[in-house]
Amino acid sequence: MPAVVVEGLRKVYGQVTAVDGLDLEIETHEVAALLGPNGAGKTTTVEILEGYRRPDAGTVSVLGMDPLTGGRAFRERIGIVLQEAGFEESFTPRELIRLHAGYYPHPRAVDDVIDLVDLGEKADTKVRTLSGGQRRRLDLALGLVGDPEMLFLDEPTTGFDPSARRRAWDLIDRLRDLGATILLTTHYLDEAQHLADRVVVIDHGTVIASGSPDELAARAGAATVVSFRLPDGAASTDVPAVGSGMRVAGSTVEVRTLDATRDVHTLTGWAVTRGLTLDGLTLTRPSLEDVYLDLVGEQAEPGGEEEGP
Amino acid sequence: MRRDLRMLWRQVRHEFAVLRSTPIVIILAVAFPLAFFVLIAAVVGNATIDDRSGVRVAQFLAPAFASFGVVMSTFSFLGAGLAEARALGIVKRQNGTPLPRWVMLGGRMGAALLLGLASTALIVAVGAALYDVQIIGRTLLAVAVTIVVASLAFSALGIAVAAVASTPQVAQALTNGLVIPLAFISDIFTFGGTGMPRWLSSVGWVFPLKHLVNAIGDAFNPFIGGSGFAWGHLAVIAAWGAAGAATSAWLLRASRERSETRASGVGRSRRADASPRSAGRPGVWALLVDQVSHTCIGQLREFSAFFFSVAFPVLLVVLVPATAGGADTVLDNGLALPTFLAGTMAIYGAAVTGFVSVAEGVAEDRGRGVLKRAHGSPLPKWALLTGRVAGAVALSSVTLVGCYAVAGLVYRSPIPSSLPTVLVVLVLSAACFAALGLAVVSLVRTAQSVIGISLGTLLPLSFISDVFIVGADFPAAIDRVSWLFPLRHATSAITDAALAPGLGGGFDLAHLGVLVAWTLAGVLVVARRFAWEGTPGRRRTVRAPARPVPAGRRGSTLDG
Repeated sequence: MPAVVVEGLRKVYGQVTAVDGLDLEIETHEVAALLGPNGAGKTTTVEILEGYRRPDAGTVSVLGMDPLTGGRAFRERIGIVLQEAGFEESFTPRELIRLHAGYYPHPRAVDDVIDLVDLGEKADTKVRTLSGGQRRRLDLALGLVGDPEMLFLDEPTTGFDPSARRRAWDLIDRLRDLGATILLTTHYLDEAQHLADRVVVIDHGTVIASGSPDELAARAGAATVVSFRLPDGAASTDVPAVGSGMRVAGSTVEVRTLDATRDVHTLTGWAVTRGLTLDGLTLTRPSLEDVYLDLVGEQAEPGGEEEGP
Repeated sequence: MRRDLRMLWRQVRHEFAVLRSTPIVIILAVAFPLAFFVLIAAVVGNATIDDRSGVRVAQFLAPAFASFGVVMSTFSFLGAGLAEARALGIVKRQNGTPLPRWVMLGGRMGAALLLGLASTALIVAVGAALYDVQIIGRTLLAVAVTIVVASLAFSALGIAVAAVASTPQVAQALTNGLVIPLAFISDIFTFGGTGMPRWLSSVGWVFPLKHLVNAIGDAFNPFIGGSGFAWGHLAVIAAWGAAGAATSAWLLRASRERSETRASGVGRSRRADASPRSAGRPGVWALLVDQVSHTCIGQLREFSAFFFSVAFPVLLVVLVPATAGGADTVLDNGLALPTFLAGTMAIYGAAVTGFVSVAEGVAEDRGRGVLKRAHGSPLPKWALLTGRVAGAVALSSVTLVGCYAVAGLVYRSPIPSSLPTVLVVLVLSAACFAALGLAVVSLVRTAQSVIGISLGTLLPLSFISDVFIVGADFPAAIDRVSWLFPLRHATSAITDAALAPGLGGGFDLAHLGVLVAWTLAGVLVVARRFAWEGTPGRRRTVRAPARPVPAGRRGSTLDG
């Protein structure tokens, strides 16, 4: 039985349609990642699944319950790590974890949770002395302490340094092994690639692609990505038109091609005849990132996060 | 130099704009002294001292409260405001800009000076309009100079406090904890100084506040001739200012090197933490006990909450009889002053605890998203809210014990024989105030508005509700208004209880009925309107992109 079933979900704030006919299914014990640009409707979707918001249309079932009416029995089975929520600063992590443990019927041991999130050193100092990453780990700890069957993680590693992110990934892997179903949202494609059994890309409030990271990458077909740095003195318009579309990011040019042999020949021929060098010339298989950028477009979102109030 | 001065002026304007949009600052620096002035003038009476010149008592009250306004605007505002700005990282950010440090501090001092002048002008103007306070032309210059010198001196002292305090809460408690007791021994609340022991009066002369009160007071005194310059007083004030400036400079330099202090050993590990709690849904009691102790610990750790709701009322039980007539004073109703105060201060403490501190804490938790997280956990709403109310009741009981204990220890005032009635009254009152505080939280959005509303109603009501004085002569209309609100019923009920001769007597069902009615009204509002998130703002944030003003204003209020 799937842990999450969403059909035709719709949520409107004033004149902004945050979620627009979204369908989603997450299997039990699965780790699913919601990907999408700022304002795509990720947080709104997750907060409806968590029971914070009332959908305007559609049906939602989490662990076989309606999040809106599930009440306490529902919340005893889920764990939530919000994108942004503060703490009572005059308490210590241990005190807050202990307090939250008292809310659940079958909580994890307080010490275990502290170890899981690696907060041992800071467990008995006031929250106000914690760094950004340590606060995020406390967030994670409060989401875990009830030993949830279903865990929601809204951008769990934003603000982590690279090694802290690795540790958080290990933790999430371990939670999966312990049998939790996990839904996470993230901006990091490597995170989705590493953690998720399934990636769901949403934009403008609706699912535009879904599948395992490998499946999604494979959607680009056998295409190969040719990339190089634009030589000094050459404009991107000078580059011969090859492949199935060229992307310029800063001074780096990326060309998607189904015929790498011929197109590389064309490009290098163009460079050699003009006496130019193509620095950083590489051939790669397309990554999740390429697929993602193809799907949601590359332009920076104006205005940033506009979803949840 | 001219560029620096222009920068300073811009900084002053910026800081002034920031503090103008911070309701708590306006309340403490302007409304608070003005309310004190108007109310005490109403209480002490507007009697004419000298028929020939028409000088009234208010002539001497106005300069005292104007001085109070200056101190609240400079010392208290700068101490707490700067500590807050440092905690929020605003000072750190400014330190990374080319803005010279003296301009940064000067901007705040300038804004504080403007605020103090505004507060003073308002008190004098109201005094002139309502109580015939005479403004004496020949001493105006002296008054202005005195206020400017005092503002700079108290600002320097406020900055020193901010540099000492590790958190804004500590700074707030330090500034208020110094100003309010000092006000009692500095001829502000104790005009005429009746009954104050001589040594306490001498202690007052050590500190700059009494000198300020007397310098301005003399300038307003129509029976003293001359230009009004009190050089002796000014010299003491300036000396304190210089000492404050030197201390601040030294501390700020030292603090730049200071690393983050590490609190440790606060809530140590327990053996129970090692293993999971026994299985099963937690029961009502377990949930409630956790919430109550969480509320109490949180309040006790917030320095300013603890100070205002517990320590301050207990302090007043000691201070007020010492300054106003002594322990032997017997009120019209037959109660000795310390016994009377022990009861009413416990009620006042309960009001501050439930209606102000706990309510503010819940509103802050909501603003920070703590409540949103709790909402995502299985904790039921009633457990959270009932826990807050019960926590307020528990803390108020501590205050009650403290009040009667110091009244007994210091003034040998007996514990009322109808103690059970006193306790019942206190518990009902504390629950009533906490429920009303949560009702305010349910109706308004930010913690700042909550504290604006709660303090803004509680303080004026305290003066007309027999908290500090009983049997004052108010106009009939004010008297009637005071009976509408629960505070006066609470103080009357506890005073009646304290007067009752025997165990279990002194129940006044009319007063208790009003308290219960207000409690129910509060509960009703909470039940209908309380939200885990600041929902009233939902609609506005959606439309916000078109109008950036609210967000900007919200950001700048953090600065105060």
